[in-house]
Amino acid sequence: MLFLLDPTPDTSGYMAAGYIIIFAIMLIYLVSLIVRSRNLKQDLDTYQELDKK
Amino acid sequence: MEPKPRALRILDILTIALILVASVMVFFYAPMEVVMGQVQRIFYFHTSAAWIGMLGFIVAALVGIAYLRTHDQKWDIAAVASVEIGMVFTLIAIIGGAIWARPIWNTWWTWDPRLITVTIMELIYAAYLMLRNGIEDPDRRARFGAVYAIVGVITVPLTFFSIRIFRTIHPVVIGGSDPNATGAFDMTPRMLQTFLFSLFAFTVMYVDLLWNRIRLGRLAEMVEELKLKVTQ
Amino acid sequence: MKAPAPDVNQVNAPSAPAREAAREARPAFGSPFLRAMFAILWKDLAAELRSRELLTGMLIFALLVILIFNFALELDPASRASVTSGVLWVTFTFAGTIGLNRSMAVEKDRGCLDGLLLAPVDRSAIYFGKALGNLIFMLLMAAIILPTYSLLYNTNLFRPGLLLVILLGSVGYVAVGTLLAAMSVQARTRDILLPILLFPVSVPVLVASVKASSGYLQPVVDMSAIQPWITLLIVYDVIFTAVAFMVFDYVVEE
Repeated sequence: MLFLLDPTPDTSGYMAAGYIIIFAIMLIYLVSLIVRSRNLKQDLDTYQELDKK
Repeated sequence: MEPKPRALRILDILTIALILVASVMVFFYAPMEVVMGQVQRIFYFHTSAAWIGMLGFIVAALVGIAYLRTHDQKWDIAAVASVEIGMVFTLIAIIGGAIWARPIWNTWWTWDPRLITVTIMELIYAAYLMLRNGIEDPDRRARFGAVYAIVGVITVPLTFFSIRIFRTIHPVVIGGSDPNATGAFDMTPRMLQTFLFSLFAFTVMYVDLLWNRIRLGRLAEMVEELKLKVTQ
Repeated sequence: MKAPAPDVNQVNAPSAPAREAAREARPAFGSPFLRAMFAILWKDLAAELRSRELLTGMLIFALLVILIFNFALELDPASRASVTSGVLWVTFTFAGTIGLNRSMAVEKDRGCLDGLLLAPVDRSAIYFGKALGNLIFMLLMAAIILPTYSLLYNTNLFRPGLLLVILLGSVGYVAVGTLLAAMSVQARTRDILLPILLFPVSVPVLVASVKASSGYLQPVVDMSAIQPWITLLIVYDVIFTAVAFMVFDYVVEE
């Protein structure tokens, strides 16, 4: 109740922290997808080479 | 492995564009909420991420049922993909929520039914992956995964309804409002627009990630088969 | 078969001696499903009666857990009221897991499961038979824990409301637990997997049970606070029994 009488608190620091983490996690996941994809393609090439022999 | 289909390339670009627009709306278009200040903006991506978390689990259960009926491996690949994405976004929702909670409720965490059940959701899907890891036979692994996903997803509506049935300090955004809940707020039209657009953007992102992740799963399967053949 | 079954095309009701003969020829319970279910249940109960290892194990474990709680928490009379239901349910949960694990592991290890699967019965009869057995064991354990706890801490836990909650909670826990145990027992990481699978999914049951239990243990019982939890318990029980019944086939097929 008293909250409503106060001026709006400055919580922008928390907002920034929140969004930095949100974007960071999304980016990390994206990067992990790319890295795994690349590794698997390399593996596929390797095994395809071996298969030909 | 066939090259990335054109539709998927377009979807990738569309996703990035939508997320950018949503971000602009969140930071510049949506008004500042008077009681909580800027931190309230976390709400838009926090709820969207939570939505994707739940969607991921629902899809995992549905494709699980499809697998049980058809025994087609493609459904199992889709299930794992959906679980993985669901896990990532539930984590985003939990952390985002905690950061929002800190200045508003004065605590990072509270043992509130909603928060507990969402954490449970995350644990269930970690358990899902552990279950799969403990099983060698691919068909059995897929079957058990499907069964556990079905059992697990039933907690998704429990998560949603817990906000209705139990007194909680977590804000009720859609319908009903407990005047005692700290952090409850009514949405102005601009807020509503930003909220709905974020939901939309995240849903498109989910589809994009799912498609990409399924391709990854198929690639992994091809590598496994070839590996078995070559090391015969 | 002593007498031929009554002709279904007959318009008139069969005569009294024919009905009598038909009744003798039919099995004791009307359907093979029920017979199979009770056969499995009886097998588990009889085996347990002879060896008593499952129940003894669960009981000793439960008593140890109560003992540990005594040291871990300040169980003096004042704070005890608020933690009693929590301690009880944690005890039931952990000891219940042991029962669930053992009950399924025995089937797998002795090859009974394969034998059961070869029999021409609906697979879900196996599920209900095992689940009922597990439920009975859990209730038996509760029947011994409650008086023990009452004696040790000089509180009377025998309130009908509490007994109802224990019944509802055990049903829910065992409904899901039996299904998940059937899966975990087939995995490599068998023993540790069941708790990991079961605990998150049974949290709604546990939370509702603990809340409802502590509601009933208050000096003045406030039904309006307890009602939603009881509803949740019933909903959970119904849903998960139905789901387990539907998917059990997929868990045991070869």
